Amino acid sequence: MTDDRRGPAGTAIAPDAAIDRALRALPPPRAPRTLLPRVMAAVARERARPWYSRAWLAWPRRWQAASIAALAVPGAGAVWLSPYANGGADRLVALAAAASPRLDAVWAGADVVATVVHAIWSAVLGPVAAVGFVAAVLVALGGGACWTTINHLAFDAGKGTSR
Amino acid sequence: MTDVDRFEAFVREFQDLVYGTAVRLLGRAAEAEDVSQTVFLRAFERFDQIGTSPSVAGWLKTVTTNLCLNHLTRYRARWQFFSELAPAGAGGGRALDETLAAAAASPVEQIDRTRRQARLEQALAALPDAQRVALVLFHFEARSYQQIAAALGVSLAKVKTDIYRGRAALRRALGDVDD
Repeated sequence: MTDDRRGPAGTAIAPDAAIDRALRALPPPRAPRTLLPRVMAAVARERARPWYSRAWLAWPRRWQAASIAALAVPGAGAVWLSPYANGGADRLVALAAAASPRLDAVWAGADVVATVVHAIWSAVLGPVAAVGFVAAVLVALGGGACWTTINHLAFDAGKGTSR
Repeated sequence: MTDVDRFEAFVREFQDLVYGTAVRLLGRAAEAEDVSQTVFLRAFERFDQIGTSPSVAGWLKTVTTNLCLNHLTRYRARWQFFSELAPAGAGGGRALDETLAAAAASPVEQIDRTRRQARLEQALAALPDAQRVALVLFHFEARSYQQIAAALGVSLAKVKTDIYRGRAALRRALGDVDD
């Protein structure tokens, strides 16, 4: 612990031994009698909650491991299957169409809808979307700047006096 | 002995440490109880790991201090801003009454000393948050000025100023401590 007891602007502080001694001599505060039952009641409520509604760190170990695996398996599968993905969808559609003529008709209909949507997007929505995206980003940045300024003025600037 | 029994014994052992740290930093008994409960719930979540750890006292003290600082910066500042209350320490619930009541059980010949300690506790609790927190971290947590500045996210000069002003306020409040 530093023993640099200097005041603001580098002025030397007279050793305030009496205050320091008095503070050190204070007995440690004791917890009120109400604290223990209160904590144990909260613990009982916590134990009554199902494990999945608690914090992840409080889950049973096997469920923690299972959740990690559940997240890891699809990711690993996607990485492993990505080389086969090209053309896979077409082969899947061809297989489905061979299995059922009705699926072939559905696929043809979906193809037409996709073509129409693409045409509308290219002709009408695409140019507007670019402008809209830029406008949305600007609005978000402006809002963020306003909130940061208000937060700073209202809360951070008041720390020195309100704390 | 069940886990709950073990945890109850654990709370009994460390409740004074946790509550004492919280009430000194926050200056209000009700808020200190809230923070203490949160600390023990966190301990309960990790009881398998920390229950028998030799460094559990340090862990509890660190978590308590961090939660108190978080409470002061995140909640109380906003509360004061919106309600435009009087400076911290004025009102706001019972302040250390239970602690002082415990001290009142001292022998008769120590009554005067106990009274002065009670006045000092009250004066400490009535300090503005910035001054009290800096003083408590310096005196009771053995933190250096640099560590306090880093923990509070303020400049070293502000920490020195707050401690200087806090001591001056305690001197004014007591008047007769320089025996």
